[in-house]
Amino acid sequence: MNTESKTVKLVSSDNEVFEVDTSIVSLSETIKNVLEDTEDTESIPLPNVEGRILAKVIEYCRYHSLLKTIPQSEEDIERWDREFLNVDQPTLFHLILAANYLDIKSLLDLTCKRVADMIKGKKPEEIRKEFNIVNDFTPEEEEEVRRENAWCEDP
Amino acid sequence: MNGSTTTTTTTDDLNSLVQLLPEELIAKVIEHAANSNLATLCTLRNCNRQFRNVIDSVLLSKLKEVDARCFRDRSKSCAYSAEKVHSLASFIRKCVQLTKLELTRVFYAVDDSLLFPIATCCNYLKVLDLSYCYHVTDEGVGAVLTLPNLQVLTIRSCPNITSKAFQRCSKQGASQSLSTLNIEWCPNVSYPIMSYLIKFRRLEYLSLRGCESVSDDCFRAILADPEQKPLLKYLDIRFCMIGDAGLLLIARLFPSLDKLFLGSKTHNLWPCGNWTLNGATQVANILPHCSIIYS
Amino acid sequence: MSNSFPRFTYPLSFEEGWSFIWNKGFLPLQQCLESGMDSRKKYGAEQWMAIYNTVYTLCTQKPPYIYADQLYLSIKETETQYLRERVLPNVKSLHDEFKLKELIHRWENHKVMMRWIRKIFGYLDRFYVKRAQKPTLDELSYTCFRDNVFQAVKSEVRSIILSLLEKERRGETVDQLLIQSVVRIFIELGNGSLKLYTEELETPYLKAVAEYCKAVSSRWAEEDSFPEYMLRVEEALEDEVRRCKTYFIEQTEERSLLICEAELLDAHQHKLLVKEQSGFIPLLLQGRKSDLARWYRLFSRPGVSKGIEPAAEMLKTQILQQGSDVVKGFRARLEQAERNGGEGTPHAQELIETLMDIHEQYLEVIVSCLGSHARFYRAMKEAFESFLNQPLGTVTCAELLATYCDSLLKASGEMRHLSEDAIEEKLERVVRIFSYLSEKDLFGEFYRKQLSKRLLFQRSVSEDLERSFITKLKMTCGSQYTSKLEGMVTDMHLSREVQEGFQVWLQSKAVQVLGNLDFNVTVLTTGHWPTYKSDDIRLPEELGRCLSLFQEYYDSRTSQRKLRWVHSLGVGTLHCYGFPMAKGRSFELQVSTHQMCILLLFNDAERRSFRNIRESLNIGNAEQDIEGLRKYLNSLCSSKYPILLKGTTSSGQEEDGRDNESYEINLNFAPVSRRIKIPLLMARVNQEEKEATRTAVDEDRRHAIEAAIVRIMKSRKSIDHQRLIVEVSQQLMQLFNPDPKVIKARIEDLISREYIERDEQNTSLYKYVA
Repeated sequence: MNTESKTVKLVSSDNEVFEVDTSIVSLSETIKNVLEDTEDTESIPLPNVEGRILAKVIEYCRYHSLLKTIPQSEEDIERWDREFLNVDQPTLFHLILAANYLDIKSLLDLTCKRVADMIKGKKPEEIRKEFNIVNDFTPEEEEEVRRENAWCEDP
Repeated sequence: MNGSTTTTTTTDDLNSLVQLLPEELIAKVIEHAANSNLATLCTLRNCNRQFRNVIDSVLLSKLKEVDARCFRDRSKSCAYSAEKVHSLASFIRKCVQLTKLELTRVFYAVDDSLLFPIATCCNYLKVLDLSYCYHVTDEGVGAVLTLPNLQVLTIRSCPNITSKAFQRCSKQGASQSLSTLNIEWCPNVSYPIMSYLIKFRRLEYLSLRGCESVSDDCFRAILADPEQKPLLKYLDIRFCMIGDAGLLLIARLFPSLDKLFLGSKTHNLWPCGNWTLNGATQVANILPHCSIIYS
Repeated sequence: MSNSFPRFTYPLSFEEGWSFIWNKGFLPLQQCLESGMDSRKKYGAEQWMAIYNTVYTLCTQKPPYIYADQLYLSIKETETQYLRERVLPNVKSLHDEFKLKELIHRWENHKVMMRWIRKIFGYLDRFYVKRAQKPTLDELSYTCFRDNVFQAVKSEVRSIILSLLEKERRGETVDQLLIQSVVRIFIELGNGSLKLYTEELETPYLKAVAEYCKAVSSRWAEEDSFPEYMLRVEEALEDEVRRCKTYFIEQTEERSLLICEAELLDAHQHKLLVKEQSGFIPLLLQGRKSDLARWYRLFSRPGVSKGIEPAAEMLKTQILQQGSDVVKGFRARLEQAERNGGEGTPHAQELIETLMDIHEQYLEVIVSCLGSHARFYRAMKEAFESFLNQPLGTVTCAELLATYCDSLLKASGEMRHLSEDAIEEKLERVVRIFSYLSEKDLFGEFYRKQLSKRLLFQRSVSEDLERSFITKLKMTCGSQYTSKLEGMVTDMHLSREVQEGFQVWLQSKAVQVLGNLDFNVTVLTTGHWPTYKSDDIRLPEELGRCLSLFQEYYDSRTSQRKLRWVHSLGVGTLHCYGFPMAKGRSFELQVSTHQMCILLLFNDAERRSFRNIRESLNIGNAEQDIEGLRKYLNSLCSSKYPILLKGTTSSGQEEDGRDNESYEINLNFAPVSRRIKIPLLMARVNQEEKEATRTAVDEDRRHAIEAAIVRIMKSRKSIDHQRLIVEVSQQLMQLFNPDPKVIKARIEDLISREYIERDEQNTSLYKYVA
């Protein structure tokens, strides 16, 4: 395969172009597949990813593919990941989407866990407020859910 | 979150969790958040329809291990009620892939009417912990013993349990998968217990600790039984009414024993039976590879 | 963004999405497959991403616009349709090798499509397949090809493969690569499981192998000699291995070989082994080493269910017959000799060496041709045990073997010309034979008697050889068996030290106490040695003094031991002066202690009566004592060395004939050499002595049996009769085979001595009396 130390241009939905090493973005299964299944590819359009998100994703890929040659301690990696995810909610969600679209398993797990941590230990109202979720239950449905949850609800 | 996210509804909508993520990703987030805890899943179900749908259709049927503990302060909610049992049962009925279920922490929502659906729905269940579930009776435990894959059953401190719990199963051809059985501190388990338990062919680990009705006679009763005895490796008879005669019987019945636990009179307040060091020494002679632990 | 990139409106309908995927994806792909073009050249990254994007969109829209299910179904339909309409007709229309080629081509194409689908529709694998518990896209593709193409053509494809292999077996050239590629389809289609390969290809192939082997082998077995047959089989097996390695997987090679072995070897084993001219025994007798080795290589293979067992039995029978013939022949000659009063008694050496040669001959075959297999060692052991322990009339093989050892180890023996290495080699063989003896204790007793003579009369070839042989026995029978023998050799060694110590001690006394006597003592430990009689013959004064000096020295060395003198084993050398015929020179006489005492009496008187001699030597008047004395006197009057002359006295006291005899020193004795050894005129190991050995062995056996019984009873406390007999026999097997009757007698004896008792209720149960 012609993926060794070559570069490829990634084009975001807002037409931002990122020229990156193929070995770095091969962390994405999707990009790896394109490169394998097409010949002499110079640029790949990624119409589902915005430029600012793609920049973050490339930052992530660069750091994590660098780990293969320059290993870091578990704590350092964790600290870097934490720092990396220190973003507002919309960015976080779009990162999840991008990770899913590009099929980068470790990034998907990382971002999903981050959201899960924000949910943990909260009551339903708190979660709704936190994530701006509308309570769309009818009163009957709400009563039914309450009954179903009797065993773990406060009396 | 900062205030700006709540001001404009359109961007909010586009950027909110439920609007943005496809179902499978919401499921993934919830899965991480619940971390096998059934109570958390219940709370999340209360958020909105999509959460409820995702949990019911995607997650519950996939769950393998469940610890049904509540994370909040339990002191107020520990009152037992039929409604709680019913609601828990309806949940667990959906978890058809379960292999491990711990119910200790929701003892207030466990009685026989929960065990019956478990016995019919959770065919993959291997490990079941019913410790301190003091509402369960012989009938319920008898039912879960019919689970085809059950390997580990813990019924510690369930005062309603008697030998009868094992009678039904042993008559209908006892479970061939059960290898570990813990019946600690069930004071009403009595004389015929061993006659039923020897039918469990795979049984290797048995704790009868604190079953004060268990005496030498329990073991004497099975001496003449022509049935092949299970190859017991681990036996805990601390605080049972065992004497030297019982010890000798045990040594002859279970030659494969690796570990034998005996309650020592010197540092315990509970009655420890009337075995003596002499009897224990004889066991050590018959079973040289078995370590006898006094505690 | 380029123009080829579609901009769909939300929500994208399934129809719109699928038509895009079909037109931009499947259609060009199928064109590539048909034309043989590389699909990678067909798609640019943009087109690829556009299709991926469409798939992603169809899967991730909000409900109710999730179309993963339809997408999955459509992929399946598309694959199925293509295979049915474009692939299957092409494969079906062709025949023979062309059919195979087309199938291979189409399968390679399908794998390209499968890989393409897996990558571009990968999103389905990640979530939909897992949640809906559907087969993965790969599994789907495998199933499609299997159900729509493979099932329809498999039986024809299989028979083409089998007929090609049959052709190759006949020596024709076939396209190996083609066959390999088709076989690989059977393996790959299983998608990790070998079930399909095993059922659809391997099993039919193995059936064909079995039929082929059956057909050729019955022809070969009829027409060929055994060695020829084996050559053909070996070739056929090699051929099969080569074929399996070329086309199939390891599992098939194993199974196919098992079938070949069963059909080619197992099925005809008996017929081949007993072939009159070329069967197993003829090969053995003709020493056809390479054929025998080939036989072992073939018949020890796992597919031969009877294995080497039948041949091992034949070997046993053969050795048994050969050995029994030898033993019977020897016995016949022995009996013949007995009728002739001992004339022409056959020598032990003949029998033992013949048997050892037989043993070596077969041992060589077992080691070099038969893989040193334990079963053949057992066959030989059983055969040897059988004829070695047959009664031989008055003697036993145990005794003959001991005698043979003596002849090897005795300096004056028949084999004194042999080098030490040669003797060592023969002794090695002796031990092999010895291990088959059931009466090892009897051998031990005879051996001890002979060893004692070799040691005491310095007749042994070499002490090293003696020790080495004892070590060999020890390895076979354990240290208890050889403890006495070792004790004897050690005694000889220690005696030399004692002697040296004695000399030093004498010098420290600084007195010339011994005069000009040279005095040697050998100290034997009671128990190690055969029992010797001691007597109270009155020794000459000088000798008596020596004895008491030695006694004094020995007591100073040790206090726990008591010395008992065995004069019957002593020897002495006398310097004789004053015989006129010796022409003034002295000469030496080598004599036994008894002879010496008699001769020294004549220093004081030239003539003495029998009675005078008897009384002077303090010999009793009992019949056997007198008989003994007479023997010594006669040896001194022999015609060869007449040192004494026998005559009658005129004393006139006629009360006893013997007392009338008188002896006179023969001053006319003419020594033929400076050193003369006066022989004792004693028979070698005579019949009496043999009887004594037998009795001693029987006595030992009684003790051994009793000891075993008591040992068993002590540990068991109570045991029934049958078990006790069995356990005693097991314990003693190393030494001899105890007769159950003797064991029973010993039990009775122990009961009467109250070591054990019968149970009151059950008389066949014994209890130990502590």
